[in-house]
Amino acid sequence: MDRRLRLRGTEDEPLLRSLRHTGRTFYVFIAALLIIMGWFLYAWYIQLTQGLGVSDMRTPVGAAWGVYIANFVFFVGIAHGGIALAAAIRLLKLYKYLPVARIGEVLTVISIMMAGLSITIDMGRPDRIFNIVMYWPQRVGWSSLSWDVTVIIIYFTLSTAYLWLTMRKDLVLCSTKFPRLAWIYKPLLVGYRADEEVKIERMAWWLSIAIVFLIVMLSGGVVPWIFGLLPSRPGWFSALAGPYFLTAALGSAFAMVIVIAFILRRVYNWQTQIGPAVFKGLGTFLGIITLFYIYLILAEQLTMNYAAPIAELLISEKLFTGEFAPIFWPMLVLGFFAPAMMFVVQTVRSEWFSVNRTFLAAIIISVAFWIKRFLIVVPSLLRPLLPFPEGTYDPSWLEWSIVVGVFAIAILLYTLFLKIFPIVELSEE
Amino acid sequence: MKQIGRREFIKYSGGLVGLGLLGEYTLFPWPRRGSIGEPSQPATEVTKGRVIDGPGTTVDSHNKFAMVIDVGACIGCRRCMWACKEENNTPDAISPLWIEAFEVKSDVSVTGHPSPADLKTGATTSYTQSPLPGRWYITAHCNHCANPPCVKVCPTGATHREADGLVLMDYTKCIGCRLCVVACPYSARRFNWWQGAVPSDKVNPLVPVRPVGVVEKCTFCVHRTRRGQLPRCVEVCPVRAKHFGNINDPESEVAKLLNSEMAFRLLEEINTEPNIWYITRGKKWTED
Repeated sequence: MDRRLRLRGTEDEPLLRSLRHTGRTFYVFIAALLIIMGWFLYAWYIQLTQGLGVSDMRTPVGAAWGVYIANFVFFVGIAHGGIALAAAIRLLKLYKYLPVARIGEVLTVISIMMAGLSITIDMGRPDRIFNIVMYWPQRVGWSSLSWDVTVIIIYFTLSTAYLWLTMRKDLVLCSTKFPRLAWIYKPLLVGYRADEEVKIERMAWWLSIAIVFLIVMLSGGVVPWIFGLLPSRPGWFSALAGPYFLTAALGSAFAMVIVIAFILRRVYNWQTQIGPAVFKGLGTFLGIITLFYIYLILAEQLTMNYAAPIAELLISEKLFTGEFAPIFWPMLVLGFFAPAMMFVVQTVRSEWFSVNRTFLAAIIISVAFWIKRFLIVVPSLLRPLLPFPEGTYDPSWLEWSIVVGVFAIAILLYTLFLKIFPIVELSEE
Repeated sequence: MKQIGRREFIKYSGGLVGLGLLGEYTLFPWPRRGSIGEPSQPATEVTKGRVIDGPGTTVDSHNKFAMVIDVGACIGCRRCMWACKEENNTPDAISPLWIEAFEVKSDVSVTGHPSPADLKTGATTSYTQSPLPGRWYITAHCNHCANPPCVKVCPTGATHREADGLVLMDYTKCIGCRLCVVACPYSARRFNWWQGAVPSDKVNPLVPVRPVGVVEKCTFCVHRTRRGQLPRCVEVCPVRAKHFGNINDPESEVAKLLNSEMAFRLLEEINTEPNIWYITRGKKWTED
């Protein structure tokens, strides 16, 4: 086997800092997240008891979907990209990036949960959610939402299995070092044998192959097809939808991995464990993806401007000169183009490389990708095809509370994972 | 205990999955979906007497219900909108109503895709006086498409097409995902954003009152039409602009109208095959 099987020793100690040291800031942080989560629960309670009318979504004049669906698409995106990174590291033997592999895997598992949560929040009757499963056999032939549920379940299963399998050897070490948490590790180590690593390695390899194939079909297929197969919605119906969403998924996920890796590196002093080379490589890739995404935006908008039904042009105009222009142009220029150029420059001129700037650019790109999801979902809904009045959509405080709350839950889950499991694969330099 | 090897494990689980699928697709008498546009359920005892149809009605697959609207006759009085609201227990929270009336200028395209200029100068739903000279009035609601996009995307089959061509909602199945709402090119579907309150003395007992969080829309007054009555909007029209009937019957009014008049449908290019036809036999009202 490769160098991952090296004897574990003192070099792992720094990586266990996240489990060992829990300072006061941590509790303050958790308390803040819990408060936001409480606020989220309160907002959701209001929505559940009074109806979705508390949001600013309306139909047919107005947007039938809003920030909840934008949030759903965003989380599905980073979910698919996070595990893509982990799988690519294994398949292409990019061991340089191994320190961020599990960061991506955990990001995937948590994001899928948040995507599911966002969909549930958006439903008018969340109490009937299992109807999707009950009527799945009849509906899976046609309904893009049935496909989507299938995808999310497969994805959750695969990525959780992947995370669990690749973590087992670390858990053995952890259960000796942290007997306090052994009750959590023990069930996860069921059936552990000392010689299982070879087999696990092989299973993880096959899982990686499955995941890499599925990403193209799922993130670049099923999720965009919710939008791309609706001929009644100008701006959505497009053969470009698949590649468009896939690129956004990879871009936003890489940006998020950079952000999380940077924060962990800062907090736990992992300057050597997650070296600058990791950030430089991820940054270059993120820069290329972002430039490619800008190209896709231009390809899409240009086609819409020349499309035969005027409705396509009207949606494009909403972005270029209409009510969404004040967020579209900053998103395109400051959110995508400027950070992408920064990555290009620091790739070409390595002496200009800076980890801090990489982090900053990644944060900006993450925000831009969220805004882009909003601009995909909302404008197409505001212009009905019949001469209804023009609608508006201005998310209510309650919708924003819920969106922020979902992010807080994601961060909370991530932090808890950090405290129980090693976030960087052990015995690596 | 005997260890189960990987191959056996795969064999056994594959067999179990196969058995499961076999059971799923052969043993259970669940109604299967046909091709798109086919009714999701056959016209049998299954659909008989369900709440949605009103008690005692049956689906007659020889029927294909359609509506013909004479645009030249319509004076935009909106009596149909309000009669529909009363007939179908539509709560006040639902806005616009199931039926919407558009006022369009004579130089504006009526079949869809209005431009911003059209909206600014011509087409509107918020007119106060009608009829005005130089205007046409068009009412639109669910077209009961033969190729309905809403039925295609529904993840639970809550919205489905029945043998007599009606696209209906099962309010007990709907999960409120609103994929059908965004899929409908006619913006015909409404959503219960709030718990809708209809005063109990005004409730029509033949029509179910919808719970919060589900989608609803025009049913072509299924509780009336399956009993041989006309939809309420057709009945109240003071100028007889709306006609309704079984298009499969050559003797029906709608079939005769479509035979004698050139007709158009809304947004035909989306290939939904709508079942509301618009004709005009010239303006019936005088412009003064």
